[in-house]
Amino acid sequence: MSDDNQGTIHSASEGALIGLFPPPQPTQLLAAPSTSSELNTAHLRLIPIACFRLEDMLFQFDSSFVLPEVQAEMTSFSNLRKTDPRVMGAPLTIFGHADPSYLGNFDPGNSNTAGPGDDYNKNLSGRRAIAIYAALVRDPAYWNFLYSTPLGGDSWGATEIQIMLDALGQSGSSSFAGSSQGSSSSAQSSRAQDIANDSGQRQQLFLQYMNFLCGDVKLDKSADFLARGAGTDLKGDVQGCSRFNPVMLFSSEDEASFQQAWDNQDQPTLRGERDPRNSINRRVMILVFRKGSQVLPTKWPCPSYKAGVTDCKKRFWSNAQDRRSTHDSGAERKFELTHDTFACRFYQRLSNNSPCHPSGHILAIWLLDDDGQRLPIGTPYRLTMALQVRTGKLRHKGLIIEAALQLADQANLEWGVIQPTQPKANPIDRYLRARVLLDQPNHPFLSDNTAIPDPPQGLYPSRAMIVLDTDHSVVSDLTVIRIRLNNMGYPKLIEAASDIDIFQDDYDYLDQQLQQLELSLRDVHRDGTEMPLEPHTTPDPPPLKLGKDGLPVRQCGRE
Amino acid sequence: MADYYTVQQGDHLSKIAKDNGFTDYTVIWDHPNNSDLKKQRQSPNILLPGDEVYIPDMEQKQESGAADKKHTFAVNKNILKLRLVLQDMYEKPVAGAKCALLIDGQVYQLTTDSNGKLEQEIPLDAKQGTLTIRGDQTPFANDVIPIKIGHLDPVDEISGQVGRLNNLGYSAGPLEGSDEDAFESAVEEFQCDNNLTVDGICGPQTQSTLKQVHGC
Repeated sequence: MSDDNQGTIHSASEGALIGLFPPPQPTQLLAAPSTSSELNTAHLRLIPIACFRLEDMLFQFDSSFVLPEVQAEMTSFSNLRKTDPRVMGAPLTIFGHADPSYLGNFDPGNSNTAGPGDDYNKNLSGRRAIAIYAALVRDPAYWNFLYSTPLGGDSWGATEIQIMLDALGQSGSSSFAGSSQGSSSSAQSSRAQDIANDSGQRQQLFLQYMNFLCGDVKLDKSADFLARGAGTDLKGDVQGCSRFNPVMLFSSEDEASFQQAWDNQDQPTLRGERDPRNSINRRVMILVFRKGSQVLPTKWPCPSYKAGVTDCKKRFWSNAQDRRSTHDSGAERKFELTHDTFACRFYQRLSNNSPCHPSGHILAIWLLDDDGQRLPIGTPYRLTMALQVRTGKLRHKGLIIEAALQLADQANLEWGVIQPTQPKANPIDRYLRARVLLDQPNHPFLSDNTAIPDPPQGLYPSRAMIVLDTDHSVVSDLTVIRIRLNNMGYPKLIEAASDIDIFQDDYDYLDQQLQQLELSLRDVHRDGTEMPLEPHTTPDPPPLKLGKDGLPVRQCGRE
Repeated sequence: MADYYTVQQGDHLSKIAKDNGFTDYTVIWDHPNNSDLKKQRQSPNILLPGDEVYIPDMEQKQESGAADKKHTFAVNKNILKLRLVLQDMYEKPVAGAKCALLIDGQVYQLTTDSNGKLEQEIPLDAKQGTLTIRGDQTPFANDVIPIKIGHLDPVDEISGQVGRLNNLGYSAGPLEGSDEDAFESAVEEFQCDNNLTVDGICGPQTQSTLKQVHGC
């Protein structure tokens, strides 16, 4: 379990983070008793209960177009709503954010005037927020608005239509073998073009795609958002924060080199280094508040996603400029560590206790048993890394998530068993394996809605030392392969045979060559994929086709 | 024996009076020796720890009356109330809400009016209690809100400013003002919400608005 002050993480992946806020500090009233007219006014605060942070990678670059990867994240969110009764039916508000440099416009502008960078970014960040809102409430008209009013790089077209068609399996590719690649792709893109040009077909496609993305998360404009849809231009429900609230600011050295890259129009540096590193700032944050919470749009401090930055600036700290644009020498500034990178006081108040801003790293560890099956909810564990000790019970099948950690190269993991509800003839006492990944599980998991049983005495009979696998792009490096296999318990089981052969056999990847196998090893290690339980069999030969004469027909090209 | 008494946190004049055997705090409050204090603090219910209050001797009152007639003596006793207004952060009243107010062991079942106000007579030496909003009609239902009576300091003291800002939901930090960021942010938010100059400094105008918005 994480430290209670920071709440808990419900799910974490490359694309999104979903967290539950810690219980609020009780509002304590200091009251003057009254002998005449003394009156004590108490304002009961808005209480956030959960946050859903969508990362930049879920959108097309520099665009509000929502990519198919959102589907997996919406499934996690749906999960939370179904398993936590506080969250189902609780009102939301959505904040979009942009990164603090726009096309090299590093000057954030005078605190009293809105520079072009601030305006553009308010618009862009608002567009991303409205794109998510529209999907949640299934209103394609908003997407049509985004489509018909491009903004700089945020320009939806046939490419985006094609992505939607592909995601829906409507690419229209021919089913017979042998069609040339060229002709089928031009057939696809002409279909996309047709839809692109027809507003009616577009909106239909948008709606289908929204259903694909959001699944059973379907929200009501007038019930499920903080202002209940009563505000002009959804004031109170959706807003863009421009680049006012960065979570990370580059070191002054990096910032200077990016400034130079801009001056030299060095696209590889700008696109290849600055933009990816800045992606952490380009997020959309959905906040969920206690059921029954509601705000009057006129009183809500944030302007609508369509309005300008003036009302935002009213909420700035008096030293907002310093906060959002100071670069330290030698190190990045991070909100999670210092809580002083946001320009907006109001937004900061909502974020101070937020589990979606964990200080430190998130470590996710898949824990599977000797049969390669994920361990059940309630399995007790103890994780020791550097001087940090975390104990808990699995809240999701097979998955440990710990946040706010300082990383070390390795960690010690101990775990136990829970008593099965139906006692089996042979209790589980086999060697348990741990599969480790760092920061980024991207496989959505389903949690069983079972009650968590208590662990027995002698909590942690099993232990493993885990080496952290930090870079998922590395596949063929022997050291990395060793780490993954080691984490998965292979060398401890069998010394004689080649461990990767055993892995290959366990997972039934018999027709994979080494290169493919290395990729599979990475994926299994990262995703906690369970071993197939069916015994491996050689496939039956294809049935013989009989011709008119009752004799088997020779297939072309086969014996 | 008449003497000066040093105010502790949580003291309010009704309590001080009762502790010293007086049923009517005005005897103390209106005493000439307390005129400076009265001028400075204005409310007998909002004193600062360290304030010096002069407690006079109890006077023997002589009333004459015919022996064979019936006489009624009324003892002046002040009434002490707790008056609260409950609103959300956007000043929407928590109206018509059933609440349980617990003061020094005594429970009062109350309902807020259409302005979110509730009012209850409390013991003269009331110290603390809790407020629980019942039912499930609001997001605040079943939260137990602790109340410390007499702990509100004057508005020209930092502790008084923090206390009022916290009551108003601005999360100004600890009473001493030791969390400077939180305090400044709270002052600025309050100033912004009330159309004052936003400078993070709780000066006379901000204090005056704060007193007005808070109610005392």
